[in-house]
Amino acid sequence: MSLPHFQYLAPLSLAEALEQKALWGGQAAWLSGGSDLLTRAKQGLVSPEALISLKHLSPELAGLSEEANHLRLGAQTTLHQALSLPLIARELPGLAEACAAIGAPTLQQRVATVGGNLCAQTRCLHYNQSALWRAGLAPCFKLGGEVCHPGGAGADRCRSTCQSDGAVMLMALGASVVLQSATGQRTLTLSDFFTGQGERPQDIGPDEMLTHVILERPGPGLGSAYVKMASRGAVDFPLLSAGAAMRIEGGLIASARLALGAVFAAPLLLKTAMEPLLGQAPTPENLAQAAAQAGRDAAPFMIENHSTPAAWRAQMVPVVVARALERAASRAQGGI
Amino acid sequence: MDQPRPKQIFGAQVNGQGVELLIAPQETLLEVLRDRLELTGSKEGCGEGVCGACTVLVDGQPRRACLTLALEAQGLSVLTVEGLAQGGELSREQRAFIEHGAIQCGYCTPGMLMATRDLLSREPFPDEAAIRRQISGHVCRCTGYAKIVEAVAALGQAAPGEEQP
Amino acid sequence: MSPQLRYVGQRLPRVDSEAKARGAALFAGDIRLPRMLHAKVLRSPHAHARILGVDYSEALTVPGVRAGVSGQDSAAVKWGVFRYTRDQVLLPVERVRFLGEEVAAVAAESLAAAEEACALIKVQYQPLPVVLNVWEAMAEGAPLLHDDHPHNINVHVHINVGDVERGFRESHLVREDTFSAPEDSYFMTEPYAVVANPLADGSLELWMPNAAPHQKAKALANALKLPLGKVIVRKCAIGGAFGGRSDVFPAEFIAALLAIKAQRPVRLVYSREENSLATRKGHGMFTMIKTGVDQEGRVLARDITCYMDGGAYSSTGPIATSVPFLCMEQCYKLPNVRFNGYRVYTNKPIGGMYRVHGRAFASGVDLQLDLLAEELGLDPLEVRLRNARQAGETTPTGSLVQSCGLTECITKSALAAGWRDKYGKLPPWRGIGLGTNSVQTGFPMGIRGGSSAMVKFNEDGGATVISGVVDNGQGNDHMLVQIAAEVLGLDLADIQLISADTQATPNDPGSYSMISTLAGGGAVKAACQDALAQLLAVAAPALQAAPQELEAQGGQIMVAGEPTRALPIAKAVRLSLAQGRPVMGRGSFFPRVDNKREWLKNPFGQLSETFSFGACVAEVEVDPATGQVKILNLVLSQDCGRALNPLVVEGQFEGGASMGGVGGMLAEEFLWTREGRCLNPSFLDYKVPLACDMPAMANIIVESMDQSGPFGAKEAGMSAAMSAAQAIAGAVANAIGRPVFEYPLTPARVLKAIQEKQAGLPARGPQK
Repeated sequence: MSLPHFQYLAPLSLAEALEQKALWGGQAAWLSGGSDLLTRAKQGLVSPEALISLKHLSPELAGLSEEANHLRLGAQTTLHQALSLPLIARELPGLAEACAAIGAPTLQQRVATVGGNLCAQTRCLHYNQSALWRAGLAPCFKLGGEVCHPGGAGADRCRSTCQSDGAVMLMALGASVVLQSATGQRTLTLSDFFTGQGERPQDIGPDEMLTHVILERPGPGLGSAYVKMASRGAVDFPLLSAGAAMRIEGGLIASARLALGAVFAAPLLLKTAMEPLLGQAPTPENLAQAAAQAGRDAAPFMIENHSTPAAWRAQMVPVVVARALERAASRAQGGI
Repeated sequence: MDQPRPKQIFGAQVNGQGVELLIAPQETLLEVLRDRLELTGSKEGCGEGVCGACTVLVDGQPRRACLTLALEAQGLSVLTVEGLAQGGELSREQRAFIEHGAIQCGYCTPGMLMATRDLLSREPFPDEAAIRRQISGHVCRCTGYAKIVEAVAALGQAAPGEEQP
Repeated sequence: MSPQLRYVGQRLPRVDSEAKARGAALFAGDIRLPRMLHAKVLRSPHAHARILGVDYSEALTVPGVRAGVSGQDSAAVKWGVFRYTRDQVLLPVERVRFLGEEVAAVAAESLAAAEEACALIKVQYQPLPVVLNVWEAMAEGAPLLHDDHPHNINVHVHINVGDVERGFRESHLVREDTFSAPEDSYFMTEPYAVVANPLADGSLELWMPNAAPHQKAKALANALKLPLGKVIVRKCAIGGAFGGRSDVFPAEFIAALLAIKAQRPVRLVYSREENSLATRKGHGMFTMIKTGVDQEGRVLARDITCYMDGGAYSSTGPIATSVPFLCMEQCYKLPNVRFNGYRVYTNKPIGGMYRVHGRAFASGVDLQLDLLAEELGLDPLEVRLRNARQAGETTPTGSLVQSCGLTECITKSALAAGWRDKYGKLPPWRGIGLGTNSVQTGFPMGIRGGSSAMVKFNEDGGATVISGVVDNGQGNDHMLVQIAAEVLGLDLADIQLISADTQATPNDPGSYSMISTLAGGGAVKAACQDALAQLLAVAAPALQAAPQELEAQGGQIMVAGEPTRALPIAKAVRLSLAQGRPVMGRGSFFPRVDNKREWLKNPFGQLSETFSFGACVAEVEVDPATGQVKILNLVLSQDCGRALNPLVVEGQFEGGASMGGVGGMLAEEFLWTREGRCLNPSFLDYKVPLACDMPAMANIIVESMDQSGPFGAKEAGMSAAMSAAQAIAGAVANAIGRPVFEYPLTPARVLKAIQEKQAGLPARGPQK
């Protein structure tokens, strides 16, 4: 598995990087930790003309800054660095759980970045395979073709799923992302950033870089949790996951956000299932009812593109949601 | 199209020795180590960053050499399994692996040793859970990991005064 | 010989460990020779197709390409382990039968050039209908993979001992269950690699991970039409085998052809995916088991029909089809037994021997015993003990079991795990299970069934041991050195080992049938004893003693009990040279087996000289909401005859339990598309257990001191792997109060069983 030919650029500043990207556009790809991009390049799924390394940009783009109303997390913050930040460990345990759930300590966690996790491609049993494996198969939607192999004859779109642990949790936390280009910047909520289309899962322009993640300041009363189901304890993408963020004020639920991973092309935000919780006490019964509703709401979106039966995954939605909500509620009330 | 690009100079300190090579931009650190520097201790078990057999330390940080462009390590220090022994003397990690029977076929060993070096440099007295977490990115098919965990644990149990470099 | 053992039974670091710890051990893919070329194989994108034409002429125009080969260059040479199973054309000419099968290859100055050239090879295929499981393959009118095998049945093993029908009639209780599991895969950490180097004298030397260098050389010599001595399989470090390196692959044939054509060394390194698809995989399996027991739970009759998904070619088919049955008949008393094993061709990669060969067979047998015990109101532990094989008994197919510590294994594992306090008394969703198994130490292999060894003394008193035994990673090199040092009274460091090099080493059956310690170790022991006897004869006059009064210890030859009357071995060696009587020891070990026994035609007679036995108790906890299984503890025991080196034996237990038990029973399985693509050929998608997935393990070594094995040793590890799988199947059934018949025990399968139980539905076996 040799990598294809490409040019390698390592700009020394963000400004220089953005200028280069503006020049190359879609023919260049940002190289961050590389675990998603280089694997796909080896498999012949992408063949960029140039890779623009972000290795010199860490001083500008890594770390957490606390501002008046929000937190700015640099996109180049590695998962390991994120896990080491006291504020994340203390006040955003759900995000810490999500970062710790990615890859393994000596694998992705030391080089993979928060931004890279958000920009990772959606995954598919048929797409994430070698050139040998795909030989003899027509190119799928994600590769610019007109079929979807897991979707079968009737499929009219790509049926890959978002399996980024960090993205799911950040969606639950209501995060936004800053996209910067040589000519300007825009800030998108993750609901807008993720398109819901497997072919092109993120709304990011060919000249743009995801530079920061913006988070609401957690503060007292916010609890978060990330629950992942996978075949192994490490080096595994989720079969299903749930991120929950809940604020409890005066013993009553003031806000509740829940996102599911590995079911849809974007982290699936389940708003209406959480609405009945508002103003209610976080009792096991109330949380279980919301979890059951989440299972019903998620059903139409569930994509069957995993190594495990769809029926089991569908049954697991209320289970992981309930567990995530319970843990988030407990943390919101000072538990662990 | 897939055309060769101009080669670039790659310079780094590999196991304490300065190296300078002309390489193609797409060469991985593992290719440079194995094919150009003939340091074949780092192994390719999967080529996609999963098995951990190619793990080396770049500026002290573990990296999957198979998923790291060599140019990403430009100007940095690279430590491979061949660099663990000093002046012919085995390192403490190597000795512990040998003494505890942590090596069977030996294919995962180089990566396991680098993961051990990394762990102990940050956490000199890890508990079993920390050891298992650290090596969970390294596949071993022979040992069931038991003797590897024992070997690393034994290193962490030495009193600080007894520690050897 | 030394009356007191200095090395046997000691926990010793392996002699091969230091090179591996330094990263200095050379695996095949690490070998680089001057002027070496790099090869790349073009593979079939179809699971079944007729080859209409292969044209690699354009590939040869790529700069740096030095040679190409396709089936046309290979004279359609066929390979098969047995004369009657020669069904695989090593480079196909007319037809490909699985996706990933080799079609053509090129060798070039760089891997990149080879990859580029490979993409330019033109192959015209006519796709053919595929069969992807045993039922499709055996159906009336199904397309045939091999025209001379109706219903795609590759092998049928039939064994019928006693009167099974009468046994059932006389039984108090009879149960019939079906168990199934898809293919498992080795995932040894080293992907397959071959280096082939043509030498000036017309011979060819090769390095590759292998489990039997002499068998590889013989098969390749036949295929290349070269004299056996001209095909030299060299030794290299090997990154695991687990049964998956046993026979001959197209890779070495292709590398050899390219090397001969280019007259340059050629290296071919497989990707992980190629290793998964184009070496071997485990067999998928359906096993129907009918067992009749008396009121005390003693098995009176058993009838087993097993369908094994063998993939496209035969490989070790007759052995693979028989071994699950043989393990069972060795382990349990069976007055009446019938077995029909069918290995079926399908358009999938080739099935081979596997470390937990037949999880849907072995686990089925034990789980069914648990169910029978439950119906009889008996403790499964008691039922195991009542049926357990004893030394001195003969298996149904006629093997005398000369040593057997099975009862001790079962008792000790159960005691250590607290069986009597736990069985039936655990809190909800916790369960405990027991598995027992037995494996062979080799098979009847005629002239290739024995191992021979030589020993020479060096002037400085050190010794060089020459043995054909190969080390796949399990520690065979150390085993040989340790035995030699023990017998010769030398330090481990004084022994040089030359092994697994067909140019230098005498024949050996290979390390894939758990025979290496018995036969290879036995041969080295005999050769060392021979050498020592010669040396003592030289030393005796100098020490003014009779040879039988002498012993070797600590590099000295001394009069037993009188350490002051001693002569350094180095001196004795020099004396022997001065006298013109150089010491050259030779020895061999040919297991006492019935060489008339044949897998299909005559499956009766002594199979192995001796057998190992193992037991495991597993304790698990099941999450009733998800079906996820957490293994809390495994207590592994095995009668390995004698633990030559407990450190190594424990490593075999623990590794076996990881692969067979934790991975094999909870997560590992190949998944396929409708076209025959394997969905998870990678380390990412095939779920080999990681350190964080492994439970606590306890090891119990049981030593029955076998009368034939070197110092009493038999085999270590494989019965631990098998019994761990069986114990986990039992423990999960115990935890959820219902058997699960389909393996591995993924959360989905376990949850389905829990929910069917809660809904009052009957427990159902797998559907065809």
